[in-house]
Amino acid sequence: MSTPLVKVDRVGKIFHDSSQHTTNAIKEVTLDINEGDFLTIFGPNGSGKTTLLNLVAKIENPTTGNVEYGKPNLRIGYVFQNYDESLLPWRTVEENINLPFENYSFKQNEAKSKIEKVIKLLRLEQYRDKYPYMLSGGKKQLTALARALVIEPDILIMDEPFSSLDFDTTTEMEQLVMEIWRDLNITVLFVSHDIDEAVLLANKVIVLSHKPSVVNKIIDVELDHPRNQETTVSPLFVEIKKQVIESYGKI
Amino acid sequence: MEKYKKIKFIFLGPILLVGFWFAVTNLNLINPLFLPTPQKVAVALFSSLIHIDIWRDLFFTLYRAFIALVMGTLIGVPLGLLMGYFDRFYYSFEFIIEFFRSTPATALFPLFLLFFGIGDLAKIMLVFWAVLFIIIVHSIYGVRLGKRSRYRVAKVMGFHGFSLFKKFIFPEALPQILAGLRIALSTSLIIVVVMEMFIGTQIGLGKRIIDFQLVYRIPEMYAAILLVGTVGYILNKLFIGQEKRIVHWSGK
Repeated sequence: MSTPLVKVDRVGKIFHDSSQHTTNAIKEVTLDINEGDFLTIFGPNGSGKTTLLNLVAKIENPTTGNVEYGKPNLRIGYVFQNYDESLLPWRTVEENINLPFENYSFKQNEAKSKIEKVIKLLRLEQYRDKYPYMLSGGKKQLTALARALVIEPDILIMDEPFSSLDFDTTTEMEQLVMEIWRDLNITVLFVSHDIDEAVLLANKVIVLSHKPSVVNKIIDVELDHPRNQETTVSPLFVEIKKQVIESYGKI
Repeated sequence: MEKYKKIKFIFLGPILLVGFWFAVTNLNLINPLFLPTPQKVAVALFSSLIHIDIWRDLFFTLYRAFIALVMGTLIGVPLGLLMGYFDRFYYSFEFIIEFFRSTPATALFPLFLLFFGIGDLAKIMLVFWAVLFIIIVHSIYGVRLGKRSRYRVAKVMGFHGFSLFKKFIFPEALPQILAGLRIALSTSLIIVVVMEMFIGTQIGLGKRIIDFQLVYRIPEMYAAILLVGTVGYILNKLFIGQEKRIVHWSGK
């Protein structure tokens, strides 16, 4: 088997805040993220899910263990939970999507066509000159997704991206993410607190324990694609969901 | 409230105030030495506006305030941004900033006279000193009140150094910076006018007001006060208009 895209090796994370208080967020997590995976991370509130994403993205450094990338200059697209706090409100949709190219490590000359491509892919044409505050929650998160996809990432990290959207928009966005995953052939690491979402999207569900977290179980999801809301009532789906619930409570 | 209703009410307060003024002065309820009639003040205002003197005074008052504001902005904003971003820098200078911010600038009059003499320099430097701390503090809070997750976005995308400041920290802090500049603008006018009253100059609206008072040309004194007030009001309105346009996203 080829080397994993990201190897999370016995990683632990302890936070020290200013009052000398320590929080043990992650005890020990070992995880292989292979190319083409769609992993969802499911766990209780405060189980260090976001911390784990930050460690994978190397925004934070682990206290113990290490995170290794299977290829040099791994490109990461990151979609944050709160679109209001991750989009730049002083920039239009298009200017937001252009942001990653303004960094030294990307070449501006390819940017234009890539931006056009992603705007077309996510059907954002009519919103390109609008500012985020003029858009609905769904369109804002779509903009954030476009900004993550525009660099053609090796891995797309999404942190409960749809948790503040209504049911219809969430369903639409889930379909879109699955399409993107299939069509663009990328790897996705997706945190969810919604068990149906976690099972529906994934090819593997990573169930985390309470804080300090460990991986309780990794559950394979062998459901056929395309999946939709009807999939969530199929016997196999219910069976997998049961497995997730069983391993969820354990510490 | 709907716009036309709002406009009706906007004039209500001023009309009542002038009406009250008109009534008490024309009914001789108050000594005209303290408060002349609005008619007299209006005449004094119009006759002073057709002379070059008052315009020269206005120009010098605004010029002193403006130079100080520009200096305060050029130095205060970068310092505030750095202090807002780097905790060590912030904690090292927090006390000094808070101390001088809490010291009335006017208490430093004598000191500035000693250092800079009685010319324009002392006035400009004192106004600069007063607005500097307002601008620094607002810039600091602009950064510190900024959304932490946007700095995480910057980190994921690998922004650092100058481009981090230019593309994230500065725009993030801009609404607060402009709010600080607006306060600094009013403060600068207050201090310039006070300085002009007490420290050797022959030109400036503050000087004009105190001169009229000394020779009991009370309607002219009121006219000059009205002019200062009007200029302050207009500048503030113009600033707010620009502020809304520049930081259009703020509060939305």
